[in-house]
Amino acid sequence: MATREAGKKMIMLKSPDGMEFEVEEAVAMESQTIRKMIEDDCADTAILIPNINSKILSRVIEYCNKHVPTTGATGAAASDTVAPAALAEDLKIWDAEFIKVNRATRFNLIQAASYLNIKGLLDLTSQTTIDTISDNSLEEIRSFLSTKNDYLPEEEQTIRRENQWAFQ
Amino acid sequence: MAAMDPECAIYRDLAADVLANILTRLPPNTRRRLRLVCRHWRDVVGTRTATNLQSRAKTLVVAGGSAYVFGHLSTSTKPLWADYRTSCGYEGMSVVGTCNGLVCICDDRDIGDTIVVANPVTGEALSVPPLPPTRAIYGSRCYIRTWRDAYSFTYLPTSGRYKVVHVPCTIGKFVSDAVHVFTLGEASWRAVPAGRAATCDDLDYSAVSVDGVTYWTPEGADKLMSFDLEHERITPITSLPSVLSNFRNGGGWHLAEVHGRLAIVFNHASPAVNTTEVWVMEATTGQVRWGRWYIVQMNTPPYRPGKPSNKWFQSLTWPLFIHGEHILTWDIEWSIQRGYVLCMHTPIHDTRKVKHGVVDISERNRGTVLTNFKMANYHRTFAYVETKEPLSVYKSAVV
Repeated sequence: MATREAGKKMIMLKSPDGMEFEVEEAVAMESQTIRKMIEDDCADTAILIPNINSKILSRVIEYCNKHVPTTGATGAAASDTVAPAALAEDLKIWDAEFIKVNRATRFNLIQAASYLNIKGLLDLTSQTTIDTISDNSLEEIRSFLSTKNDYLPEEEQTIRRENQWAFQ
Repeated sequence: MAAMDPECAIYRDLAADVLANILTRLPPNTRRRLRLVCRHWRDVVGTRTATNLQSRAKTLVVAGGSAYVFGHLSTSTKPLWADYRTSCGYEGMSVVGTCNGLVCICDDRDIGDTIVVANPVTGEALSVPPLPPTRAIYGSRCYIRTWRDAYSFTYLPTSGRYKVVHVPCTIGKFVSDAVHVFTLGEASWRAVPAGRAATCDDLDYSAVSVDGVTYWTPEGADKLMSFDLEHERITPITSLPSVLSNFRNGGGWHLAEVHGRLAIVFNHASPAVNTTEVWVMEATTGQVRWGRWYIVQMNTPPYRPGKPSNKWFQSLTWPLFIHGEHILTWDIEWSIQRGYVLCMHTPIHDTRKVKHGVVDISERNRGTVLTNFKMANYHRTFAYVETKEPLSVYKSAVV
């Protein structure tokens, strides 16, 4: 955990499995959902994040820590030594490593990014999923999602025909 | 319900808004295809993404080296090749088929076919490697033309892949007794053995692909052959509309496509009336069932040279003859060199006779004239839609 620096407001995030995470307010506010809670003064002591277990929440915080803008007093030092383009490139590489997780974790991250409204994380996790689903057959997608084809044969035929007739 | 890894359960029913967020990032054609994953996905695509599920299909008419697009509501035409390779002249070009706005073109001006899949909207084009056996039939120009008619172009909804198919055929002494398949994005053609009995010896109006299955008529025309592109299985279809056997000596038939289904177009003539019946394959899962959807009657005596009464003739366009609610025909007038006239008819609903409609063509009712084309051997009509369907994604694999 990062050491507390003077003048930085800290926020406590709680996962439903009882873990507590103390994070800088700026980091927590990467989440639009939390930002709104803070701005509405609903975040006096600790914020309970429902539906997101500690394992996923810690990864989300890790993402926000990396992506919190480094502008301002503390970020100036970093910007002086590293060009913005190189920083962006560095972030891309970091993101690519970050998203190398199993599919269950990735889906949990999508759910978390959606609930917490963290655009960057949602984009990252969704894009990875898109790459998976646009390259695979329907059967592969179903097995990937652990879902089943719940259509009656006639219903499936109807949709296939609709697609065939309408757009080919 | 079967026990499941609790971690899996969370994305089995990915929340609708999260799923919508993912699906919105995909092109519309992919979203329509992904409706097939399960009901939940269908509902999310239908209600939470801006996916147009209405038919936007237009009609692409290719004749004598020109290609035109007809809109749904208007009869105005728009040249498709206007800014697309017109300068080199497209006389030798034929269209194999269309899928999702992609047009598969066979350019046979030179010996050996050049097959290109193009999107006229984006200007992207992708060359398909030549099918090796073409070299075996170099002997005669007309053989090559026939060889060209054995191609078909289709889209497989389960995999989302485009495929060019070449059906087994007998051309003179040359026999190609395999189905050849090329999948866009792969490097080469693959052959699936079909056997001599499955070869087609009359390639005119023969190969039709519907919903990931290619159909053709083998020698003898007493059955159909089907090639399921998903499982790469060849299956004969022996159950045909009974009308075909009743008229074995007095009519002819060919395959076509009607509203996303396979159809048999059967034509027979009596001294006074020329009748075309359209039989549509209604059930493909389980037992094959055929229904009579259209009857087109033409009250003109069959053509006999020298007889003044036989001034004109109409036949259904091919492989597509449905344009919205209408039926398209080619009108050919023998006496004047006005070429081929594309006509449109509105069928009259008569459920006692057919499921969809009856068209009566006579001297007084030759249909609405859409446009005319110069005399040429090659006339084809296809469904077409303007899309941004990308092709560059397949480029890497093609040398």
